[in-house]
Amino acid sequence: MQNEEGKTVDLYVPRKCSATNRIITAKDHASVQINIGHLDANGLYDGHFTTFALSGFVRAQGDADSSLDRLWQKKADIKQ
Amino acid sequence: MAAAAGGGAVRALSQKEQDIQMMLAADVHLGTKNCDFQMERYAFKRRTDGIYIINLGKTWEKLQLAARVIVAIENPQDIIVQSARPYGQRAVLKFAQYTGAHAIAGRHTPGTFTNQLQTSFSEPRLLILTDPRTDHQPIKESALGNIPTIAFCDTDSPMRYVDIGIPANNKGRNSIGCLFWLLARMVLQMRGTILPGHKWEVMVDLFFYRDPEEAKEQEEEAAVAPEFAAITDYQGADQWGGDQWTSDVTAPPVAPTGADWGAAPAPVPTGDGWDQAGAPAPVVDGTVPPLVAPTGWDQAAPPPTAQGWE
Repeated sequence: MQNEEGKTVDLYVPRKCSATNRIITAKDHASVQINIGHLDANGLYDGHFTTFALSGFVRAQGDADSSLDRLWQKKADIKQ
Repeated sequence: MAAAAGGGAVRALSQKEQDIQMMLAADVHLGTKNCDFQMERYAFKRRTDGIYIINLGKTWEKLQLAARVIVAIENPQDIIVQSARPYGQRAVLKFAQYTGAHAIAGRHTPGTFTNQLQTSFSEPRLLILTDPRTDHQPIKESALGNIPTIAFCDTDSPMRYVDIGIPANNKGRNSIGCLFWLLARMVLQMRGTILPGHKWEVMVDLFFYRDPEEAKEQEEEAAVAPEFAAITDYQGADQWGGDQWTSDVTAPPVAPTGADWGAAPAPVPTGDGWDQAGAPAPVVDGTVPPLVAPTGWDQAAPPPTAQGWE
């Protein structure tokens, strides 16, 4: 949260689910963070990766696979 | 630019087409009669007998995505490859051998990811499964430990807690081996272990499950070798028999020895003369030894007896 001056007051800012914008709480043990590596023109991994966080709610519904596909397609399109 | 792009497209297409042909040969595209609603986007068509056909283009894309995730992890030992299904055990062990991951081939001990009191406790950063239905226990435990999951999903597989589902036939022997081989090769290519444009020398057959009966057949083939050795021993016995036959041939030369013995009567008169000449000498020699021998014996006998008696 921010005060009236616009500065962030919280010490800990939780992550957000990339698919549903839900807050990933500290007790959400079903949430995951997936790093998808980037490849160069030769198809070799260049050390950089894109991070997607998924909350436990999305995974429990079984929508993690489709969400990750949608996010990666969007990211790949932007990258191209 | 256009030519270069065309060349790249040709190479990429050829590689992808070869992979898809291999998957077709391994029956990766055959699903089941039921279809989970979350797997409908991977189903291409339904056959007349009710079996769903999986779109292999999407399978290849998901394999690529899974390989990217695997490559992004710095320490390959933090990846666990799990397969309780017998058909996937050999593939899992080979995959772990070539990529450096940790393989659990067989039953998953409950508590491996949650109970730190166990000796086999580990906290992996990634979990790769063969079948979400068979390996449901590691999936549940991954949901309690923030572990991402990659799984080969059939058309009727439950998709809960599966982050990257690779649509494939996970019930065929050749299919599972082919998928793990492709995934391992993609990972090695992205790491640079396999240079781009070069083939992977490891045959895909190494990843296929082998029946214990095949191992028995090989053992029987090994058992044939001792029989061959036995035959050799039999030939050796024949040779020994041959030696006996040769010794039989030696028997006739003994007859000439008999002739020599027949020649012995001729020297008999001379022998008589020799005996007469030698008769006195032995007698003289015979007299001397008895004198010496009794003396030594008599001298030696009393002292031991006296000592023993005392």
